[in-house]
This record gives sequence, structure tokens and C-alpha cells, in this order.
Amino acid sequence: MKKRIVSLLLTAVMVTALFAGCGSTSVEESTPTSTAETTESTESSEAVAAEDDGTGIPTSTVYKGETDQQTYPISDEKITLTYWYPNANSMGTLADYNDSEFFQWLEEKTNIHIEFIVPAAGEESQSFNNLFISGELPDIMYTQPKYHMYRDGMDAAINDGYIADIREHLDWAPNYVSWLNSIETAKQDVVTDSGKMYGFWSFWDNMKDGFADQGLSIRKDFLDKVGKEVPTTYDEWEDVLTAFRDELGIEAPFYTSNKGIDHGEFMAGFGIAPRFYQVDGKVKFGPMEDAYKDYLTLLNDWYNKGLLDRDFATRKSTGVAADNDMMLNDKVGSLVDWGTRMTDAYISRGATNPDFWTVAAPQPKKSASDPDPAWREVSNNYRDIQAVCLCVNANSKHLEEAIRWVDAFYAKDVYLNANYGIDSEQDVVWYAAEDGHRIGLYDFRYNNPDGLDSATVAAKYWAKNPPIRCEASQIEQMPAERAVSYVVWSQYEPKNYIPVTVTMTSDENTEYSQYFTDIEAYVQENEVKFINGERSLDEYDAYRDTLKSMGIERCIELQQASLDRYNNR
Amino acid sequence: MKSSKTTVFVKKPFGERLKLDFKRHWQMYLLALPVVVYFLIFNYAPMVGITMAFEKYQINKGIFGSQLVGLANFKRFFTSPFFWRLLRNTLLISFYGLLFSFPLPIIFALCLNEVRNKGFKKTVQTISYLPYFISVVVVVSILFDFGKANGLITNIATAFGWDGGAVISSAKWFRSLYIGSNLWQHLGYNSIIFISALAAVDPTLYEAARIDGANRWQQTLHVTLPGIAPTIIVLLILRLGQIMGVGYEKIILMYGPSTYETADVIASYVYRVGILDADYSYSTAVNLFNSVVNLIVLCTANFVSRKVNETSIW
Amino acid sequence: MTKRSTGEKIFAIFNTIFLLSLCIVFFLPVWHVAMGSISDPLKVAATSGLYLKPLGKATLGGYKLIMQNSTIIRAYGNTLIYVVAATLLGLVLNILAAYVMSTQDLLFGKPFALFIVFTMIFSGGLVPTFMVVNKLGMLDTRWALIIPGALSAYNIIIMRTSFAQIPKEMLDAAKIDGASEVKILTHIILPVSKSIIAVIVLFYAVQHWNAWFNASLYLQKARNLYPLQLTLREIVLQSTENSIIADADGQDVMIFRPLIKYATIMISTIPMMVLYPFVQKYFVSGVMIGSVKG
Repeated sequence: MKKRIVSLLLTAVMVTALFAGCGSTSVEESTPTSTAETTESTESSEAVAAEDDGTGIPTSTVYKGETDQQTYPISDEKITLTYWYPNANSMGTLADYNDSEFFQWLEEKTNIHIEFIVPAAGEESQSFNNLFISGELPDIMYTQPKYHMYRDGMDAAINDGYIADIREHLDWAPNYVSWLNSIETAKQDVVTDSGKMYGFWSFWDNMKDGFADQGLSIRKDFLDKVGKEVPTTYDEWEDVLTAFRDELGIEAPFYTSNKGIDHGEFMAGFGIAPRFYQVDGKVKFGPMEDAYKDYLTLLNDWYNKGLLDRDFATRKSTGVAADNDMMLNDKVGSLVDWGTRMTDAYISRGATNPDFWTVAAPQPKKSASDPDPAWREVSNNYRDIQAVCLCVNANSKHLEEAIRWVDAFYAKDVYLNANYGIDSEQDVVWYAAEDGHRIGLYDFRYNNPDGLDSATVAAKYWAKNPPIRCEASQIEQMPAERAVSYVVWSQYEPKNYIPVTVTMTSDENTEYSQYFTDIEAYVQENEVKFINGERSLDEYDAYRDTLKSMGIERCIELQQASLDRYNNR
Repeated sequence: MKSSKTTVFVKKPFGERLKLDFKRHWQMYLLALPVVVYFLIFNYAPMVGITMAFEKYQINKGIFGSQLVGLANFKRFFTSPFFWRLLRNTLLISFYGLLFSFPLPIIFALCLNEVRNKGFKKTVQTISYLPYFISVVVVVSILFDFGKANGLITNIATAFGWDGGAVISSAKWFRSLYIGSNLWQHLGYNSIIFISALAAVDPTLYEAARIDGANRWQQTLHVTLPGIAPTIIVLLILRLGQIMGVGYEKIILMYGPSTYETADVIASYVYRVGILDADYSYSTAVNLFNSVVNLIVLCTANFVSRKVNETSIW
Repeated sequence: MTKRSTGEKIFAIFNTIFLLSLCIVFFLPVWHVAMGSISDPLKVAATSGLYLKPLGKATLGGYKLIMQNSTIIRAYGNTLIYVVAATLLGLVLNILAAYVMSTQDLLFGKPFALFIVFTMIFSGGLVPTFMVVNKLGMLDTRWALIIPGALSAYNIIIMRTSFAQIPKEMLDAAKIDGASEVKILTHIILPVSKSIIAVIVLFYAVQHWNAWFNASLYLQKARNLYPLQLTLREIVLQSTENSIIADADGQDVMIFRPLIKYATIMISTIPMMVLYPFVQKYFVSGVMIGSVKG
């Protein structure tokens, strides 16, 4: 009898504890199904039991947030959360993001008012650092870890008590959990090396194999004029470029910039990549490889033959896209470009040539029988992850509400509204694609009845780059000629790519940056010199020796260590 | 440097002198008070941040909690493979800049001073200071336009025998383009102080010189120049005191890997490190180094000027 | 009018030619910007070189786009407030500091001078200054753009140099008459220093007119307090294709984008153009005005 009472008591305590752990009363008042599901995930996270697959992250039966498991309103009384949102560039003429229909809709639904902190355009990194200096972090922060990162890294940000470890609160984020379970590789990518969760990572929806939004582009009308096909090997490229130069007198048959010749699309055929990459888990550094010397030899040869842009050293672009006036005046034969600019985008900018047309070119190979290069520029879309992470302040007064608010974005109902318009605006702002996604109506955006410019329309009616981003349907609506370039560029599997989510520890980072800033400058400088002949390629070994003395091997070691840890997650 | 006490030979004990001084000059000290308070709050209080140069600054530990690392940050700077190059570029750009853009505003102001027609004078003045307000981004894009392979400047240079291609991507041309465009942008604005100083010269002195038979050129030598000499000297000293201060913004816009050799200065280097790393300790250490060098140069210049000229800042 | 010698006449001719050519060199790029701001935007993207007249069809579209942005009007207002307030504050403090610094035989004269010069050379840097401003509760308020940076040691030294050139006899005469130190400042020094005061006002006004960095640092939430230059900078940045996250449908349809760079310069320059001639008339000889006889 006593045992029974004790066990009953214990059960009662456990159950109460479970419910207490659920947090606010709204859970208990919710509909039966959602309570059941919440309890399920709570139980599993508490128990770390057989219900999960060993990673400690609870499982979910919902696919990609299809059923919204969050309960609304999120807060009974109206509270205000501060949200650091570095999107000044996308505001158009909107004075405050609270003027956006989407955010108004969300506020009504969640009963949470958001106070936006939008740093001045161009000063986002500075502003982010200042948040820590002033000691007052906002409740939620929309960060791009590549640019906005606590100096000592993700784990330190959590350990030092600034950022909340979402792992501890997954019971408040059922929609996010459903996403983690829907993408095979997500569980490895969303945790830090020590298994914590720095924030809510952002995903691409319906990008089945990911997509590359940039790649090699070549003037189709020029190709037609010289009677050639889109080149696939380096020899064919040389052929085409020579024809461009000789027969058409083009100034820059192949346009490049001083930031580095390409992002890897052009050199991948040599088996190398611009900086760090991996081959079967082993980290390598492009310029240190012999194949890189071969690549530079080729470019140097082409430069001497006038096949490269003579002025490439002055080009200050990021390596993608070209000077407008050169493109529009037929001075460029081929380049690396954004998908959105293919073909008619240039015409609308005033290309003088009526036949102006560009097509995507595949990554060249040394010979047609070589396997496809294992490289693709995927910094913003790797294994379905968008390089954005929403973090929550560990000391927020409304920690739970904040987490739940972010979690809402992972529910289909909410993210459909975020991508491209709220429910009530069907057929005004958006129409429904076959797969249920919303496509922004072209005319509404670009010929807006209220006279708003396209940027303001976007800011006013939907959310920019929300945590779940559905671009694929949007892209499919584009003119077929444009969509096909994505296909051409996306056909490669980025096996050699080092994932965005690989991180270094704070000490590693300190050591690494001490060496690498200088190395980067030195590499850039010398690449330019090798290509334009200012420095002879015979000195390549001396160059590599200098790099060694600057610490490149230690840097490779450090990268290797982070990669190893990542692989063990 | 002389000691800060006003006399070496102590006539009265300090306490007494203090009381006397205060009695006589209490109004002065009252006037000085707001200035002192202002600088204490906004300049001196933040100076405790200089300790970051000697620490491994971590945000969560703050300035006073971060670990002291002595001269490690400086060592990192001095042993950088680019250190000498950065120092050399900074000093050369600064020095050549001084050489050309210090005298020219003065000469411009003098020439302007000779103009009789008031309307013309005013117009020229106003036009000359307009370039100051063109954003540096636009100026640099114009430079790129003229400096590329077939640009105006390159073509002119080639006509004179230059064979190195686009001047904007040539390390040999960087300094000239940088200083030249600075000159264009700042000549008018920098001449304002001299125009004002010229206007403030006592006209009776000119009268007297004219009566003595001096022509305009002699008047310039003996009235004008001495009249604005203190302004010139003080400005020169101040300018020397900013010798390490080549700012990064324009350099970053103008330079590229092919011009790093002559274009990369300390500030642009630190800016790059800052972007990669938000390393406040490091940038504070480098700034401290710059400040110390500036201080040494400033004090030397001031000292020399005082000896030669009796004009000095303190 | 005094007669001129032949030498002087020749010099005058060369001088005029010299100054005229300088004018052209200074003016051309400004003209280029003005022309660029009203040109056909498609042609602007395609044409390099100096624009001597509007390309294609002249259009005010770029300006319309900017002025439509209600934040611009507000930003203009903000900047006016900041310029006036900060210049006033700076001027007053500047005069006080320069006066004290130019006075002889103060016991603390030299330390005071060094105190000021030191601030010109050493600085705590961005982070500590930010912390101080934060501690004072100025973040996200107008004060953050008026007070920090209002006083410049450089300007103090310039003004002090000018004060120091005032003939000692004038000061002594006043002292003999029993004037207090404050009275000497207001009745002797200031009246003859119109020229230098005008210059310092100009320096401060221009400095605050052009300022954007402090605003980006100290105004985290209060976008409605943004000064003109920061707002313009944002507009220019928005209109370039520099967004960090690639925009899948970032089609370049904001047609007037290329003009915005130029138009923003024009609208922020015109007030300064107007200010200068106004200040110019104070460039007069100080000693003539208010000279004390006997």
C-alpha cells in the first residue's frame, strides 16, 4: 500500500512537473490535439528516451510545420518584444516594419507587439557588437552568423550567458522541431560543436536539391554569331573566347574581378577551390595545391592572349556580375553572374544591342570524360539551410514568448503568409501555385496601384527572407529562359564544400585570424600578379614557401579540427 | 619640454601663488570650467579604454575584467609581415600629402586676395569649396573612370611615355592619384582659414608700406606673410601632429590587390582585421602606437617652432 | 583706387586666368554630378566619362523618388536641429577655451593647454566612448548627436591663435580701465574676432552637417531621429545591389537607382552652398572694427 501511494505520489509529482515545464497556462487551455502533441515532445525531451534518434532532439510526426503546433495567442496580455532586425536595405520607404501587413497580422495572431531595432544600413556588424557592449540585448536577434557573430563564437555566446540555448527549450518550439525532423541533415547543422543550439536556423522550403543562384554566364548572341556551342571544356572555352576576341573584337571575352577570379565555378575542373575546401573530409587550401598553379598558368596564358579583361585588377565587384556599362555596351563576352540578371534583366536596363541574350554555362572540365566537378557556390543554401540564425536573449524577461514567437514562423500557415502575402490578400498581392505556395503577383509589385516602388511593396506586404523561405515557386514562375540557368548551375553536388555551419572555438578563431588576414591579402595580391605576369609562375614554389612561413599550414590544421568536430556532431 | 610650473625660481611658496592667481583670475577659471568638464567626460573618461590595448579584451568581461596580456597586441602588429610596408606607405602618403597640399591652399588664398573685383572673388571662393561636399564615393568612381585602361588620365600618361596600363591599378600611380584627388577636394575648403586670416590683417600696415613705396609684391612679403605667419605655423604643427592619420575610408575605396604595395596603410589594414574579427584590443593597440608617434612629432615640431619663431601651441 | 604698375597688371591677368582655370577644374565634377542627377538613368549606367549635359531626356524622377520618402523631410529637420544646437554649444565652449588658452600668466595656463592638446592626440576609441554615452543615458536621444563631438581641440587652437594676435595694448588699455576678464572677452576680443568666429562657425556647421557616423552608432532604435546624411547613405546603399543575402527576385526595377547617388549629393550640398557666402561677409579685418582709441 505504501509503495503504491509513493508511486502514485511520484507520478503525480512527475506529471505536475511535466506540465509546469510546459510553461504558460495557454498550453493547458489549448485544444486536445495540440496538447497531446506538446506533451509528447515534452516527454521525449525530458526523457531523452527511445523516442528520439540518439541526437537528443525530439522526434515529430509533423512534416515541415504543416500543422501549426504552436498555440495562439502566444501571450495573454499584450507584451512587447524587442527584435534586432538588420534589414534597413529592404525597407523601401516604409518607416517602420510595424507598418507591414504581415507583421500586423502576426501581432494580432500572437498578441505580441514587436519593437524593431533596425540598424543603419551598412552598419549592421557594428550595431551587433554594440548590443553586447551596452549589455542590453534585445529579446530576439536576426543574425547572419557570417557577419554578425559574438566574437568568441557560438558556444561562448551561450556559455557567457548572452544567448539562450534553444536545445533546453525545444518543448516551446514544436514547429521548429518538426523541421529538424523533416530534413535529414538538419540535426547535424543546427547544433554547435558541443551540441548546443545557438538559435533557430533558417531553412529553404521546397528547394529540392538546393539551387545555385550564381554561375557562369555567356552571351548567347555572340556564340551564335561565331557559330559555336556553349563550351564545356577549357579547350572549348579558349576556342570561344578567342573567337570573341578575334571575330567580334570584344574587350573582355571573360570578365573577372580583383576579388579572386571566380568563386570556384571556373577552377573546379582542376579539382581545386578558391580557398579552403575538403576532399573526403580532408581540408585543403586551393593556392597551395599544384593544380592551382596549373590553373593560374592557364589564366596567365589567356591574359597574355587578351582573352581576359585587361582591367580585371581594377574591378571592385565581389566577383559576381559585371560593370553595367561594360555589359550593356557589348564589351563582355562571359562572366559569373546572378541568376536574376540573366537575359531580360539587362534589356530592361538599357542594353543597346537588341539581340542581347545570356545563357548559363556549365563548369568547365579538362576533358569531356572527366567526372563533374564536385563544387558549387552554396554559401546561402547548403543542405537547405539559409545562412540566417534567429537568436534569443538568454536573459529575456519573456523568454518563452520570444521562443514561441520565433517558432511560429516555422508553421506552414505562418510562413505562407510571410512568403508572399497574408491570407486576405489572395489574388491581390499573390496567387496560389499548384503546390500551394504563394507567388507574388508581378503587376502588383512592379506596377503597384498605389504607386509604391517594388522594394516598398515587398516590405509592406510580406517579410523579407523569413526563417522559412519559399523561393522555388517564385523562381518557377520566372520566364523559362531564366529558370533554366538555375538548372544548369545546380546540377553539381558540392561535395568539396566546407559547410557554413562549421565553427571554430574562440581560441582557434583568435589564432586563425592572426594568420589568415595577412595570408588572404597576400594571396589576393599575388594572384593578380601571377595572372598579369608581373610575377613569374616560376616563382610559385617560393610563393608557397612564403605562405608556409605566414602560417598557412596551421590554418589548415585549425580548419581541419573544426571540420572533424562538425563531422562528429 | 619645460616643466609645467611657470617659473623655475620659486619666489613664493606654491600655495600662496595659487591663492593669488585665483584671486586675480577667478573669472578665467570659471570660464574654463565647462570646457574642462566637457573634455573630462567625453575625452578623458573614455581614455581608460586604452587599457584594452594591453588586454585580451572580451566583451563579457569588460574593460576591467579582461585578461592583461602586456605587449602581445603590439608584438602582433610589429611582427606582421606587412608592418614595414604599412608604416612606410602611411608615412610616405602623409609626407607627400603635406608637401603638396599644405602650401597650395595658402598660395590660392594669396592669389585670391589680389583680386580686386569683389564679385569675382566671392564666386571663385564659393566654387572652390564645393568639391568638399562631393562624397568621396563619387570622387573615387570618377577616378576609376578616368584611370582605367582607356580612361582620360591613362591616355594622357601613355602619351607621355607610360606603358603600364591602367593607372588606377598601378602601384606606382597610387600615391599621385590619391594625393591629387585629395588636393582637388580640399584645396578650397582648406584655404578658408587663410582667407579669413588674410582678411584680418591690419589694413593700416598696408597703408604704411605703400607710403614707404613698397609695391604689391613687397607688401606681400613684408606685411601679408608675416601677418598670417602664426596661422600658417600653427596649422603646420597641427598637421604634423596628424602624420600617422591617413584615414582608411578613401584608401579602401581606391585600393586593390594590385596596389596594396603602396596603398595599404595602417588604418586600412586595421580596418580589415576589424572586419574579420571585431578585435578591439588589436585596433586599440595600433591606434595607441599611432598616437604615440603623432605625439612625438607634434612635440618636436612645437619645440622647434618655439625656438625659431616664438609661435607655438603651448 | 591706387594705381597699379605694369608688373602688377600683368600679374593680375595671369592671376585671373589661373583662378578661372581652377574654377573650371573645381566646377566640372560638380556639374557632372548635377547633370548625372537629372539624366536618363538607363544612359547613366551605360555611359562613362564626364557628363556635360543631361544624358538622354532630362528627368526629375530621381529627386521625386527621394523627396517622396517622408523620412527625408524629417531627416532634414533633424539635421537642422543638430547643426544649430551643436554649433552653438561648440562655439560657446570654443570661445571660452580659446580665451583662457590665449591668456598669459595664468598659473594653470600651460596645463590647460596641454590638457586640450592631449585630447587631440589620444583617444579611448569607439567602445569606451560608446559606453560613456550609454551610461549618460543619451542613446536613442537627440543629445547623443549634439553633445559628444561638439567641441574640437583643433578648432580651439585655431581660434586661440587668432586671439593671441590681438595687440596686447588693447587688452592692457581695457585692464587699466578696470574691465573684468569676462568684459574683456565680450567687449574687446569678440568684436574684433568676427572673422575667426565666422570660420569656426563654418567649420562646426559643416562638420555637423556631414555627420552620420555618430548617428549610426548611437541611434539604435530611434530611426526618426536620423540626420540627413545617414538617411541619404541608406538610400544610396539600398539602391546599389549590395545586399548580403542574394535576392532571388531582386530584379532591378527601381529605375531611378543610378540617379540616386547623384541626387543625394545635390540635395545635401545646396544648403551648404548657401551658407558659405553668408559667412563670407564676416571675413573682415578685425582690428578696424571696434578699435579702441584712448
